[in-house]
Amino acid sequence: MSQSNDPIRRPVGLDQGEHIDVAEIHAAVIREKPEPKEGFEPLNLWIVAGIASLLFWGGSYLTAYSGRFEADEFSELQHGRPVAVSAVAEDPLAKVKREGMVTFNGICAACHNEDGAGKAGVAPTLAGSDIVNAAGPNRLIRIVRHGLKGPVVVNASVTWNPSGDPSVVMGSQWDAIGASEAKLAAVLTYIRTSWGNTGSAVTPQEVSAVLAETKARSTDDNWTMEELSKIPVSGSGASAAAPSELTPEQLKEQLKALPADKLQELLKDVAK
Amino acid sequence: MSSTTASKTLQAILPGDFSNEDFRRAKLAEIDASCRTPVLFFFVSGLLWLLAGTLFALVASIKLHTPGFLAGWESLTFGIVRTVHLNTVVYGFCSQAAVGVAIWLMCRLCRVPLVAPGIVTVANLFYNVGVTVGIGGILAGDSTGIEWLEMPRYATPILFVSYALIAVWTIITFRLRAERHLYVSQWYLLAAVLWFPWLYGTAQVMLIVEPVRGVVQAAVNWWFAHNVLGLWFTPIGLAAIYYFIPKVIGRPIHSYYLSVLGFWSLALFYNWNGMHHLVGGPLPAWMITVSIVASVMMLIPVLTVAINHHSTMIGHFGKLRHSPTLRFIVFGAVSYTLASLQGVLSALRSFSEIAHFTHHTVAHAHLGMYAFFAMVMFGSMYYILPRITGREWPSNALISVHFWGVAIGIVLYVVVLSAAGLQQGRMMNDPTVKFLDVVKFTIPYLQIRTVSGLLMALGHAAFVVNFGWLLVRMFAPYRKPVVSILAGAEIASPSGK
Amino acid sequence: MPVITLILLGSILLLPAAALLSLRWASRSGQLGRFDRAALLPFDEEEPVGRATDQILGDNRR
Repeated sequence: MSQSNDPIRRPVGLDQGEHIDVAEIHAAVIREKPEPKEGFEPLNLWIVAGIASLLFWGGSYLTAYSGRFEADEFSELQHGRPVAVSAVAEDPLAKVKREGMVTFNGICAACHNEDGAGKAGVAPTLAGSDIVNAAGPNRLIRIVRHGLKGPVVVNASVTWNPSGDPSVVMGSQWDAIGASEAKLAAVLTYIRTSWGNTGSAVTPQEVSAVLAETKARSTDDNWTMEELSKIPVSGSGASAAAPSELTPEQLKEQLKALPADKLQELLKDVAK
Repeated sequence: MSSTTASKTLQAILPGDFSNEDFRRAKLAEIDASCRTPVLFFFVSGLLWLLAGTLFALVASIKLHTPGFLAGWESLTFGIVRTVHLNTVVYGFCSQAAVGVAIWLMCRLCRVPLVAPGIVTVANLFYNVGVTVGIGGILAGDSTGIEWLEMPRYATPILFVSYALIAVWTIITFRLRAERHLYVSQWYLLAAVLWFPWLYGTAQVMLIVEPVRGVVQAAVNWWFAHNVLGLWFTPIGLAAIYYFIPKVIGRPIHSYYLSVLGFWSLALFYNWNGMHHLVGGPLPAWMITVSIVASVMMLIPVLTVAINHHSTMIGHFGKLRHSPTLRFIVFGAVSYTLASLQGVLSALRSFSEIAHFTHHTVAHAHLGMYAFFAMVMFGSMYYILPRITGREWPSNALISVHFWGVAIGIVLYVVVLSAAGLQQGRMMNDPTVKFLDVVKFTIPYLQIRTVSGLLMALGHAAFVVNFGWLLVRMFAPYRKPVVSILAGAEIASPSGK
Repeated sequence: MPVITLILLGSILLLPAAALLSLRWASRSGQLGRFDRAALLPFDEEEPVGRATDQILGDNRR
C-alpha cells in the first residue's frame, strides 16, 4: 500500500500512486470493473494472523479450563494442584491387608463368608479360631497350599464335619489365588489380623520356607488336622524358631553389633 | 471488461466444445428439464409442510401468551404443537427444499442431466410418507421425547431409506459429471449428502434403537442436533450462496482460496460444537471446554465466508433492487454471519449462564434456521423455478410481499426475543425475583412474536399463491414470456420435454 | 452395548479415513490447483461472466 502524503497522489483506489490527470484520462476504464484478479485473490495476511491468534487462544483456553482432561472432573475451574495420593506414606501392613482382602473376598469368602464367620455345613469360622490365631502360620500355609479334609475341631469345643464326610473338603487354593507366595502371605495376613483375630502378619519368606518343606507333597493330597497337629507351630510368631536357625557365625555377628549394656544383660540371662 | 472477453477466457480455460452455441444452450435447458419433476415434487411438498409448520408455529406462539387458546384439545397442547412445528419445518420444509436445491445445483455444476429422475421422485414420495407418519405419530402422542428426533421409531426407517437414496443419486450424478473440476458448492453438497445419513443413522441407533445410558444420551443428542444444522443445512445453504451470488451478479467469487479455507475449516470444527448446549451439565469438564473452543474456532469459516461474499458483492448492491434471488440470498448470507457470531457468544460459559433456557436461544435458533437457511432456500427457489418450468414468476408484487413480510417478521422476531431473553435470563438468575414475575415480563415480547409470526405467514401465503400461479401457467399453453431471462429455456420448452 | 461400541469404533475409524481419502483424491485430481478456473465454473457461454441474471424486479426489465 502506498503511504505517500503527496496531495496529488491517491493513496487508495484502483490506480494507486498514479496522478489524478492520468486517472481522468482513464476514467472510462476505471468505471469498468476489472475482473482479472477475481477468483484467485490471495489470502489476506490479516486473515492468516487472525486464524493464528484464534488457534493460540483455543490452546490456552483448553489448557486452563479442561479439568486436566480427567473423566471425573466436572468443573472447569481450577481446584489447586492435584495432591498425589502416594505422597502420604502408607502403612505397609495396611497395604498388604488390602491386597489380602481383595483375594479373600474374591475366593475364600465364597465358603468362609466376607466376615470370616464361615457357613454352617460348608466351612468353619476363621474369626476367633485358635487354628488361625496360632503362634505361627506354618499350618495355615499348608492348608491353603494343599487343602484340608476330615474333622476339624475349632477352639476345642466346636467340631466341624465330625463324621469325616469325604465330600466336605477344602481343596488346594494355591492356583486359585494365583500361585503366588506374596498373595498367599497377603491373604493369610488379612485373615490373621481381621475380625478380632490377633495373629501375626505372614511374610512371603515364611510361605517360601513352608513350600520348600512340602515340595514333595501332591497338590491334591489334602491335609487332615491329625497330620497337621504333629507339625510344630513355627513362624515369626513362634518363640523357639528364630535363634535356632542362625548359624554360629551369624549369632556372633549379631552379638558384636549389640551395644555393650545389652550384651551384659544377655550374658547375665545366659548365666542364669 | 466485456462479457465477450470473459467468455473467450472461459473458452480458453474450460474443456469442451464451445463453438456450437446452440448445443450449449440446449444442454443447459436439458439439464433444467431433467430436474423438473423431482425438484418440483420436493419444492411443492416442502411448501405444503411449510404452511402446516407456520400454522403450528402460530398456535404455539399464541399459547405462550394466551394459555387458554385451544386448551380443550389434548392433542394440541403446547408440548405437542411446538414439537410438530419443529418437525414440519425442519424435516418437512427445510430438508425437502434443501434436497431440491442440492439436486438442481449438482446437475448444473456437473453439467449433466439428472439420470433416472423417477428414482428421485420415488425418494420424495417415500420421504413424504415418512414425514406424514412421523408427524401423525407425534400428534398421537408417540413422540420419543428426544429433541430433534421426536419422530417415533416406526417413521424413521422410511426417512432413512429416502435419505440414502438421495445421497446415492447425488453421488451417481457426481460420478457422471461432464465437468471434471469441482466448484466449492459441490464440495459442500457432497459433504452434506454424505454426512446427514451418517448422522441420522448413528443418532437413531444410539438414542432410539439401542439407547445408550446416562449423560452419554445427552451428549449424543446434542452432537446430532447441532450437527443437523452444521453438517446438513449449513453446507447446503452455503452451497446455494456460493452459486447464486456470482451467478446473479455475473461476477466470479472474490477469492477461491477463501472458499476452500472456509469449507475445510467448517468440516474440521463444526462437528465438535454440540456439547456447548450442555454447559453446566454433569459432563466431564473437558468435553464442554473442547466444544466451546471448537465453537469459537467457527469464527474462521464464518468470517472467511463473510469476507468472501461481501467482497464479491461490493459494487453490485444495486442489483438487490432487481433480483428477488439476490435479495433473499444476501439476506440469508448476512444472517448466517450474525447467527454464527451469536452462536459463538452463546457457547461461552459466562454468556450461556444468562442466556441459556431463555427466549434468547429460541431467537438464535430462528436466526439460523429461518433468517439464514429458509431465506436462502426461498432465494434459490426464485431462481430455479422459472428455469425448470420455463415460465416467469406471475406477480412481482407477490414477490415483494413475500420478501418484506418475512424479512420484517424475522428481524422483529430475532431482535425482540434476543433482547428480551437476556433480560429474562438476568431475572431468572436473581433469587429475589419471583418466577411468576419473570413469566409476566416476557408476555409483551411473546405477543410481538405472534405479530412477527403473522407477518411471516403472510409472506409464505404470498409465495405459495405465486408458486401455484406459476404451476398453473406451466400447464397452460406456452406463451412467450414478457421478461426474457430464459435464453436457454426458450429453445427447449415448447417441445414440452 | 456391543452394537453401540462397534458403530462408534467404526465411525471413529472410517470418518478420518474417508476425509483423508477425499483429500488425497482432491489433490491427485487437481482439485486443489487452478483455483482461478474453479471460480469460473458457475458461468458458461449462455450465462457468461459479466452478465447479471434474474433482474426481474423494478425498472430494470430487459
